[in-house]
Amino acid sequence: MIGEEVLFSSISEIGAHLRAQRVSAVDLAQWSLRRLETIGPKLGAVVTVTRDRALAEAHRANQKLLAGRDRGPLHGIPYGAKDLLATKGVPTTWGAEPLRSQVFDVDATVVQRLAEAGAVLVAKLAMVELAGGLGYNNPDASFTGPGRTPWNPEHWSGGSSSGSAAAVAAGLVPFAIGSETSGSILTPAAFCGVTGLRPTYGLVSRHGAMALCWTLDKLGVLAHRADDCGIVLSAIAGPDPHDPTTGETFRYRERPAKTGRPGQRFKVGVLRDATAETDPDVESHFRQALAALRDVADLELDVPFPDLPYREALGVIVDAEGAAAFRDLIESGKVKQLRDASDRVGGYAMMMTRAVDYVDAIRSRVAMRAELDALASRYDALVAPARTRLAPPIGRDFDALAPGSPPAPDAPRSPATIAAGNLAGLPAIALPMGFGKDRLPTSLQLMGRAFSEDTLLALAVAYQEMTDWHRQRPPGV
Amino acid sequence: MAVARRGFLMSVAAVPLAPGALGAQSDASPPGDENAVAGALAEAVKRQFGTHLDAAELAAVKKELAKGLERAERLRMGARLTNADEPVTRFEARPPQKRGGGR
Repeated sequence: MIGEEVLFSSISEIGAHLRAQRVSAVDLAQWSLRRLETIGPKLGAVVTVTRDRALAEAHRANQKLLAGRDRGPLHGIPYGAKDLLATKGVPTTWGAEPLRSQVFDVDATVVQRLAEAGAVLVAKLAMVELAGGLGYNNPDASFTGPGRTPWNPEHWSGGSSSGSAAAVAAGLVPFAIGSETSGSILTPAAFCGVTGLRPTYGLVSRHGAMALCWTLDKLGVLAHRADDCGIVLSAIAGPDPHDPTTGETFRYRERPAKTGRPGQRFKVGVLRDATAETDPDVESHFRQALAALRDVADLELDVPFPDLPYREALGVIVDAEGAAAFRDLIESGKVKQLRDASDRVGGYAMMMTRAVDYVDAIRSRVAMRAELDALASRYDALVAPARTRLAPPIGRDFDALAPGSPPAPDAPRSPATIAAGNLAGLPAIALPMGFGKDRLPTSLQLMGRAFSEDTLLALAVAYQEMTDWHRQRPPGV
Repeated sequence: MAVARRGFLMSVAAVPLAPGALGAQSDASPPGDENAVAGALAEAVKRQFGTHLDAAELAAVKKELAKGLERAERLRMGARLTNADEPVTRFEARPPQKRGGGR
């Protein structure tokens, strides 16, 4: 007999149950709603449970399926949306106390597209206030409280798509939508032990999503499996006249991709110093992940990553665009209602970002993009750990966790893949690769050339066919 | 999340460069200048937004401003831009095809 544990299954498996009438879309929605309402608050993962909308959508999905009007693989599948996506008539809080009552009268394009695909919106999921744009310094940076990883709720879920990752990991929803400006999908995917896909900049419309940085923001997917991410990306990607950065299309498995079998092996670049500064568990699991990848890929080791000031450029851009995006909140003093102390003052420093520094930052992106494209074009994927450390504990400021003394200037540093990948708009996938101290997940990052999602997903699927980290279930949920 | 002044990336992912490391061998701003500029900018913050900020918060803003200026200097030293380097005003992830001509 199938019960709510089916929410840990892949989208394809759930779809098979639906089409065989072993479960209904209403069953799925009700199980998901129950888990969101009972487990969600313990993880700080949920802002609003959209019960009425969910049940109405689920009933419609059932009727259409029974009438033979199958919308495809997402038909009847429940999902959650990060609470920066506009949903008609439901609060969209951006995780921020001063915006708790904000309501839009439209659905974001991504939400519309998922509805057209038959998916059922069951919740608006928790996030770091304003997606972390004002410089938070503590896991407790949302009016819903700190996001907790289901693997060990004394540790942070990561941010800023905190609830999206935790809700998937805890089996509250089979997939969720998150956003990334600089690490906000990959980080929570890593800390919650789920699969996270950050698409190429411009592949998914941001219309209806909170803007933090217009030139960096991207919407993506968190799910149990890479295959799920590909299915969801197919539904949400594509041109949207409301978002001028869009234009490319994506259809999962439309084009034949490599499989890893003889004659179709992947070519993978392992970044130099990928494990510098890493936690010992991360290093050990990364080596095991490379060993697994050798079954399907030719690895080139010690690939140098272009040494450019990615973190600096990213910081300047976030400060300048973020200050503009939240100028009203900053100037009005409403930022003083934010949860995190750094968020309450960060915006005032950001307002002073010098125009020449911003212009230099966006000038530097051109060379960074060219160098990274030249590197990525030689491989199907570049690999490194998604995060160098395990999830930090709840209750401590991030800067209190920093090493006591700065590294020597010539000490190896792990490549700044998250900053670089976001600046260049490149796609990346975070995949669970083990569990370390205190049962905290570790994660493998695959990063590729712009619009190479089909190849990255094929490699990720091949990796997950050889491993079972993505099938593990957190204790107690 | 930005860099340098952002605690999370400092602690969990990006151990920051020692202050001035990239610019240490340049003949750019002498050490300490960022603090003076940060003080001036902090004064501007106080004049514009002082009603929202107490003394401790203003001190925190000044600290953030100094970090931001140091970071901008590291960017300047690390990126080595020339007059011909144009900004991207509408960013596209796929690099444009090379065209003939150019500067």
